[in-house]
Amino acid sequence: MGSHPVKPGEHMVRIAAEEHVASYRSLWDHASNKDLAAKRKNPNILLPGDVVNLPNPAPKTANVPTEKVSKFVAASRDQLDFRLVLLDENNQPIKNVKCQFLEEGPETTSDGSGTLERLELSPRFELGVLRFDFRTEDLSQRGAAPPDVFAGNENVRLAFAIAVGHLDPLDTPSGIQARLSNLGYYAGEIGYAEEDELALRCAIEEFEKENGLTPAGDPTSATMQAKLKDVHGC
Amino acid sequence: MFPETELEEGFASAHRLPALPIYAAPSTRDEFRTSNKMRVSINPIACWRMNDARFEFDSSFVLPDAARELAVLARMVTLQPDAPLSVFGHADPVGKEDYNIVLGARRAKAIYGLLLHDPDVWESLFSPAFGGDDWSAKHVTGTMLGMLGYSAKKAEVKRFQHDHGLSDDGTIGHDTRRELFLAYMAALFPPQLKPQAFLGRGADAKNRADFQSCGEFNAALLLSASENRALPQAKRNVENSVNRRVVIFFYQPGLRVDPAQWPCPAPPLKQQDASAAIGTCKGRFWSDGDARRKPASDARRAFKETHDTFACRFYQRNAGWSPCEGGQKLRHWVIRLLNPGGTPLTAGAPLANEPFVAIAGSDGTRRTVGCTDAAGVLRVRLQEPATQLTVRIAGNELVFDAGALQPLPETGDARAGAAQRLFNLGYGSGDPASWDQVEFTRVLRRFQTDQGVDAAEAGTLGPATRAKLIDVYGG
Repeated sequence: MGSHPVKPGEHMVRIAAEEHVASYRSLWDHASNKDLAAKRKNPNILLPGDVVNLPNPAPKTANVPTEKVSKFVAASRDQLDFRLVLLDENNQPIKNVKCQFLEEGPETTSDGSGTLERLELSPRFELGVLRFDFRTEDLSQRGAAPPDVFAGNENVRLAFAIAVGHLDPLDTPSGIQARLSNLGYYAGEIGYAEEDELALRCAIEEFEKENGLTPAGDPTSATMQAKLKDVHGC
Repeated sequence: MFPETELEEGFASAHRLPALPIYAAPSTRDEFRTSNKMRVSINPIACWRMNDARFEFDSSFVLPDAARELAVLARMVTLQPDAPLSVFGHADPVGKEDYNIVLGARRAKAIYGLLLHDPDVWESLFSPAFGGDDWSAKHVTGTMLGMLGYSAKKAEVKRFQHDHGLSDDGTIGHDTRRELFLAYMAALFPPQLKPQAFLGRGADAKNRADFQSCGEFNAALLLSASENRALPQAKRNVENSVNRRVVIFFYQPGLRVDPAQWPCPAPPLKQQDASAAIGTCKGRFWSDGDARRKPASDARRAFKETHDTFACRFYQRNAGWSPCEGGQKLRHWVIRLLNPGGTPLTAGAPLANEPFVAIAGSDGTRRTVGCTDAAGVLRVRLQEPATQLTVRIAGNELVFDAGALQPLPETGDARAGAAQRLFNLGYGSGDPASWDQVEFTRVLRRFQTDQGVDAAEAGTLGPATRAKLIDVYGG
């Protein structure tokens, strides 16, 4: 039996694709990965350094005629999606806005709850840039510059780099930092929870305050983690 | 947008915290359906600070010399006309909390009114006076007349009135004062802003999110308890002047904050409004906010060194990484990517606006996600230089060794450093340390041809080649 150490950006579907396994479930549900599944709970959220065991593939017999070409395709049966809820600075959904993930490629529109879906991603999809027109501003209403320079309406286009597969588990410092960061709280550099203790604490307390908890700033608090999971969605 | 700029009595800078990226989990189509959430953040993108010296002593009146700092603010506003701004007034921790929060609010309001060229705002500060902040007693009309090329003499007041179409009785009444405020504001800060330029967009009758007072709660410097006891009042006052400042933050363009949800209270302009405002401020304090604002027994604490003197957590969220408040520095690695894998340089296209993830260290959790800028520059924020940095971008995986770059000395052997730079720019192949003289010369010639370096230096690392290499490589 082999094993696959989890690298940054990897999740079960990607690992299954890398290892030419038809479905990630044959790994995730396998007895040899029981501990991993119990620890991580969600196959989409692993931690770099986790180890996925690779059970020996069961032999498969196929009858094929001689003197004719037969084709075998090792296809993945896994389907991978991506889902993101967009909120504005006042916690209101950013509804019905056209979003682009990469310069080329189709536009996706967020729905009435601000949810954006990209279905059937490649298992190896990792990096994108989310761009959308956030607001239209009439700069002449601000008087910040001479009207002949900035006359009329301008779209404010926002861009966010997205790294799929780089969200660490909820109960790890880097996972807490990343969720807080996604929610608009700067929580220090991801993976530097000790060095950036002040930023992390500030972000946790601000999150707690804005979500009805008593600010304590403790990254190990189970109450805070449960609330963070609830608010962030995973 | 704006470099760190030390002003005579203040500071201005862009912030180094760019838009936060999104770290996301994918989703499978089984019981592990997964959803992520992102929220547009309210982190400031730039700051401007003006010190106590630009205000009349113990007053909210803005002195003529403020024109120097305000000229920089005018430039920032013109460069970023769509970034909303918000004004924060601060007082020192001497005296009473309620007096200090009102003085901070009056100073913030003075700046707010000045940027709007709104004489009614200043009239409300002129009368009624508040404690020592008595514009009338400080003879501010004389100061303004002087700055505008007149004087407080009756004949000069008449001349001002005549020049501004007022009846010239030589007495400064309400109408004359109004014209004086207007002329003075326009002289101090020529680009007039509208209420929509501020974070609260003037939507709230009490200007929540447009300007606010932190009172004495967010000290830049806390003298020690023993200093507070031992120093004479005048000396203490001088030492505390760094606390009496006004800071403006610029926010992400397009932000429209709901004033009702804004954590700061409406700025209290009268003593009787102070206690409610203080209550709101304290509701946003750090869980150990009172300990943070308490002077240490023997050592003074400066925010720029200890980062623990702000009692308000929300202010720290805004200002804690701001160069204007001496916030924690965010260090960057800067790497310029030139079309990796392709033909070097001559192909020319930098890898612009491309998403990347940079992974530092060995455990794989230290990550920065971002986008390269228009020039293909990649900025990675790190706490300490990692020995190794792996960057995934545009389907490539690049490995950078920190500290392995050899210098490019002006005299002596610069070949090793030059070889590394040439290799990083895409010239040659294999390990640059193992290039022999023939290979090095061949590679160098190609670079010289591409860059049009004087043929006299062909194949040798002369001063023109060295200068070009530094220019192209970036130091």
